[in-house]
Amino acid sequence: MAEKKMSFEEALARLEEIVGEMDSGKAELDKLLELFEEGTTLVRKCKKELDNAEKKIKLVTEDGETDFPPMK
Amino acid sequence: MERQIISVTELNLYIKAKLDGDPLLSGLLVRGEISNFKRYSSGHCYFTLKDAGGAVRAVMFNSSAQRLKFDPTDGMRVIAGGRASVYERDGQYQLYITSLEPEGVGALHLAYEQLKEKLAGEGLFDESIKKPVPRYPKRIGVITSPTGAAVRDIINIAGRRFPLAEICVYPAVVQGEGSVPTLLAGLEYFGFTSPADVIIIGRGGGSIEDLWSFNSEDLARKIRSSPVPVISAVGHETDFTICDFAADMRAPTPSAAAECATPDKSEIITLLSSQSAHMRKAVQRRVDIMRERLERVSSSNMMKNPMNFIDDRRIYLDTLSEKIVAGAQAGIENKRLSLRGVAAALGALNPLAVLSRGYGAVFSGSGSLIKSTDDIKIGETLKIKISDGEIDAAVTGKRHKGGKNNG
Repeated sequence: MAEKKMSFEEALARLEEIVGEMDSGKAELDKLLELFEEGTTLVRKCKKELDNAEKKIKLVTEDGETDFPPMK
Repeated sequence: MERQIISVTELNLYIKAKLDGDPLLSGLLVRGEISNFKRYSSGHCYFTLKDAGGAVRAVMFNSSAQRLKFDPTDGMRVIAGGRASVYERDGQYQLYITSLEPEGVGALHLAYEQLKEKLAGEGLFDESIKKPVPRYPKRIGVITSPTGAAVRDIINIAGRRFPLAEICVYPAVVQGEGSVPTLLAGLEYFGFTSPADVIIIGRGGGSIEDLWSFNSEDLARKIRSSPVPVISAVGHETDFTICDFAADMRAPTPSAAAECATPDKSEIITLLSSQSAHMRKAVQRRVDIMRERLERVSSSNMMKNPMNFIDDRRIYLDTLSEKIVAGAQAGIENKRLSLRGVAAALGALNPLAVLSRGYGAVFSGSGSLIKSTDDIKIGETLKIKISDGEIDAAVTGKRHKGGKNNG
């Protein structure tokens, strides 16, 4: 699965889906554990992404988008 | 004094000169009500100003009319600024108006109310056409002054709450001449050229004149044509602009707009943790249920002592087989009894049966049954049949019943 490409929002949506499926109690135990592993990985990934994210601030100029000058 | 004859033109010019020379008349402010308002294609406006006691004709040339922030209409009470002069061709004096203010409310306010009513009438502010603001934007387009307090607030708050989003600032002029085109260009940029997921357009607080650019009709229409949802954040909480009404969401301040555009990082982390716990619980719950099922199965008699089960079956089998044997025997006995009954009945009819009671049947040597003493002679040999065989005998004498002796 192309988990690397998943956007933050998609990851959250998938996580909600996983939790929903696990809650339904319909999944076989094997599948349940598989979901648990996928979900746990997603949680870790999302948290890490949030923690490591740095503000990206751009300014539109005639030459395109450049870094926003530091503010006083 | 000899009276001088003058032309009409000379009279009009004379009166015009009189009026134009009066400093009071060159800087008038006249209160009145507009009637017969007409705007020509040249842009010049002609109307009558009147009150209860009189009327005066008025003209407002295009150069002044262009600067009007509102649409003058008949019946509107106004304060007109200008000068009184004469139109020589008609010989009529009139007001040459350079400024027009609605009486009571300011011109800007009136213009705002008029535009608001017009656009609302077109359905431009309908809640039903408003686009939802995405929860997790990847790119936030900010259209505002790059040096104001507003941009600083937005960058700080949006960046702190959701650092995953890229914030891109389109430097706009947010007040005065030429500001509207930069705001429109910003919307074009984030709506089409380099689309954002959500747009924040706004500025910090100021006077109604400072915020005036955000009451532009063009801006309102551009916002509505944007494929990207727009959050409007103009001035303070108490300031309302046309831009606010046209936008998909109105934020009371630029800081609030940044909050509307971003989810809170700490809330997401809380959500992630709770989902993580939720998943663990779901697995635990399932394991518990399965363990309980296993427990129930393994604690059953069958699993605990399988021999019991077999023993039980064996005993049952024994019982059954005994019953079958007993049943069979009883059946056979029954048959036997009924057979015996039949045999007895038959035996009663069988002449030989009587032999078993100790009787014997006597036959002559030739095998005929002897029924009378007359059937034999002394010396003859006899066969006596008894129940278990025959006896050979000889007749040594015979006596006939009744004492008659035949031997």
